[in-house]
Amino acid sequence: MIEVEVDISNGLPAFNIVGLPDTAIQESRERVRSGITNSEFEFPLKRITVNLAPADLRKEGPSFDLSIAIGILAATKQISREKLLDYLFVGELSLTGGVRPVSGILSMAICAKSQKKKGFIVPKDNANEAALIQGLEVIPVTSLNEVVDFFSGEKQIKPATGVSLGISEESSSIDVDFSDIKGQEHAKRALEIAAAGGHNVLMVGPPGSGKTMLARRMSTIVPDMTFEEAIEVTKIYSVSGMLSSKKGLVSTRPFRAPHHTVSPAGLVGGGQFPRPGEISLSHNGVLFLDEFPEFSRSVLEVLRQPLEDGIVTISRASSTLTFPAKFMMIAAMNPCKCGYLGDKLKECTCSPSHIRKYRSKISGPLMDRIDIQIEVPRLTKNELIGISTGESSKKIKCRVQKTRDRQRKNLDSKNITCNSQMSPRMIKKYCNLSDSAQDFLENAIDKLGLSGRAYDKILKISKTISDLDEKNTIETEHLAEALQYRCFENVSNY
Amino acid sequence: MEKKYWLGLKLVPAIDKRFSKIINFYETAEEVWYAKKESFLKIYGVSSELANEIIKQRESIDLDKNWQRHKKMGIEILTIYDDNYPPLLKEIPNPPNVLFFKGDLIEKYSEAVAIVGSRRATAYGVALAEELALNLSEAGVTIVSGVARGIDSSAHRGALKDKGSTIGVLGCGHDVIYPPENKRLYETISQQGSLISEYPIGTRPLKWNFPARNRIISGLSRGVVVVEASEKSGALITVDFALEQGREVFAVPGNTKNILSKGPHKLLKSGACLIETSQDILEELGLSHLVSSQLQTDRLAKLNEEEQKILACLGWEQKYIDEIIRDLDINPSKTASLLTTLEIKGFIKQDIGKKYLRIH
Repeated sequence: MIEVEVDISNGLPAFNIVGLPDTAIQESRERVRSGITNSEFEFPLKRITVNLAPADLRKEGPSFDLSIAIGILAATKQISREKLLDYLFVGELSLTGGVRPVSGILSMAICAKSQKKKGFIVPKDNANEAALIQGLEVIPVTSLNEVVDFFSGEKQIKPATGVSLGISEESSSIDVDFSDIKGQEHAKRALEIAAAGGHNVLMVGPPGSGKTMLARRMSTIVPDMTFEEAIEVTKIYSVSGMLSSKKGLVSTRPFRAPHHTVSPAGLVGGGQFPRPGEISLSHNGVLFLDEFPEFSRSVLEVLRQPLEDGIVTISRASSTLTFPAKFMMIAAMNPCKCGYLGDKLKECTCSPSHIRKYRSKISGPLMDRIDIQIEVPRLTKNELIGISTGESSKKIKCRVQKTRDRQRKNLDSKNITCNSQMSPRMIKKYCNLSDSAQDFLENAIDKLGLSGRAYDKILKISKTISDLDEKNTIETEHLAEALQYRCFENVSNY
Repeated sequence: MEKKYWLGLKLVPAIDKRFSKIINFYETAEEVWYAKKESFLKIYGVSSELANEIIKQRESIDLDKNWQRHKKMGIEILTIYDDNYPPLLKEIPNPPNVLFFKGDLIEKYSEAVAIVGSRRATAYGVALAEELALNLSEAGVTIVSGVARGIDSSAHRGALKDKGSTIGVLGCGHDVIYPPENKRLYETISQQGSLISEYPIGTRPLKWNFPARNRIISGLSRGVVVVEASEKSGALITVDFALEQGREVFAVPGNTKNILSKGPHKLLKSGACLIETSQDILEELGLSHLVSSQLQTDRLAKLNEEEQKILACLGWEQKYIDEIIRDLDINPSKTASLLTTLEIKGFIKQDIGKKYLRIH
């Protein structure tokens, strides 16, 4: 929280802002001057000094306009001063004295509450967002005049109330659905499991097989966010200035699909004043990376640590910030350079060494963090015409939601909410195999040549499958199904 | 010590040009190694340029160091004058004078069949080569192949599966592992069978080494089986050598639409023996007394109803997992689980693109 101090003294008329302001704040002098005069207040022709404390922290953005203007009015006794200190002020001024919305309101509201402020004066367009925080009087204003009237008691402004959380109302309006996709029963099932357990997915298939289509529909089956999750997401979007004024809360899980030319900073966040990158924008949601091997190596490798920890810490000269980044990654790639390896209709023209080279673009450690790997074949013309469509997203989502709730109850841990986040120790604790499943697994390791790395993944997926099946122990059939969701291990035979 | 000088002779490329002429002129390899120019000139067909070249190249070689390297890698040397040189190989028109080998099977194997084919085999070919190799080796036949990708590797793997014996013939020195992913296979073959090459270590896998290697593959064997080969495949070069050496040629038919069936089908049209099971090979070679010990008869009976349904649905054609789901109308989760079970039990095999193929 920044404290704005205003001092007016005799001397040559001047208007200075100190306390490491950036250009936008320097310019706020002009906005404040015009805003005050155009609201028919008097702008003092004296020496004005504004200090933004703490003075050693760099400040940026136009959100201090309102506070500075109020400060000047208070210093010249044009506004009643008694209640001012109970409130936090945020807003950009227009030259006419109107108040414009700014970004990052939600975090400020949380801060206001933690600083025990009574109320929060916000631009009207930001009111819904701020009102999400309970126990804070959020006063929406449209102009400087309104603020003055509010404090003089001439005008009563009704505090904005929290919008009731209609999370699912909105998601039903999305115009894509799983039933749009013909065939791909295996892939659909894999995505259902992924959504239920929060597992990362890699889809491998020739061009035109529907990988992107499948991924886009992922957001229709992921379970609804809890209120806490929604707040976390809204905070990030608020900081990035990506919230629309109509809805206060980001209620649907984000779906982000950065292009493969994205830079490391664009993906994890960065900049002189660090801003959240794509992985934080997809926090609690889905990050879709199409054409996975086309991303530069350095970009892919920066994903490793956030995939593990669920947070990303960005250090720059000016500051060090930690953003949350708990996302579900869905990657799509072709099976080889020409794209047609394993396709029934078109011959692949790659040599084995080309194939290996293409696949080695995805490093082993990164591959380890992807639980589910599926192959998505291309349908023939006849199949496209003939096959009936499958289940609707609503039905699938219902099962997914149930499974998620079940996991949250079973895992009884504060830090993790789904199976994919289990640590090796938790896997040991929660993945109970039935006796026959234990035998089956040992047999499978022998026969299919599973690596130790694959072992943990298989257990995690089996656990989700058994949750979907509403069983407490992992049975043979769950394990057997889980073993289908891997494909990179058996490439070496070709 | 004599073997050391044989190695020396192989290291001099100029000698290789007139190898048998030169070696027959002298009593021992040691004599050749120390022979003077005048003595080389006495040999018919050795010009004075060649003699100069031999001597020049000979001087540039550190024979002791090379010999130590071979010994260190456990590579032994077999010459055409040795008693345990494979008798079948000795009969061919242009037998290798020296064989570098690891694993002593080469000195004692009796019956061998070569299995060769495309390096870019389909799942069908890979499965078939493995099955043939396994069944033949169970009958006590040694499997010979070229340790290349595709059919070659699967033939070796099949033979090794049940501790069978197999000989791998390399087109390069023993120190080069080509293709690199076959490192483990290299080791297993040299332990359980034999890995041989006519080239000393340091020879790279050059293009023209491979046809020469193919003559050894067919030369070591009673017959050559071709599984999946395109019309220009190196496997057909092996067949040419086999015919020249008077060995049997067998071919496994495939799907007529597959270009990898063109090779075997061409052979079948010109009179090669059609192979369906390993029994066909054994009979043709007059080895039918060596019956494959493990005949899979009642294995099917042990499967449950659903598993049998999946096998019936698969037939003997590749099918995508989604096709199986649709054809049988079983839910995707159940199908996936049944397919894994069948794969572990060894009835089906998975191919790239989530395609399944029945192999038993």
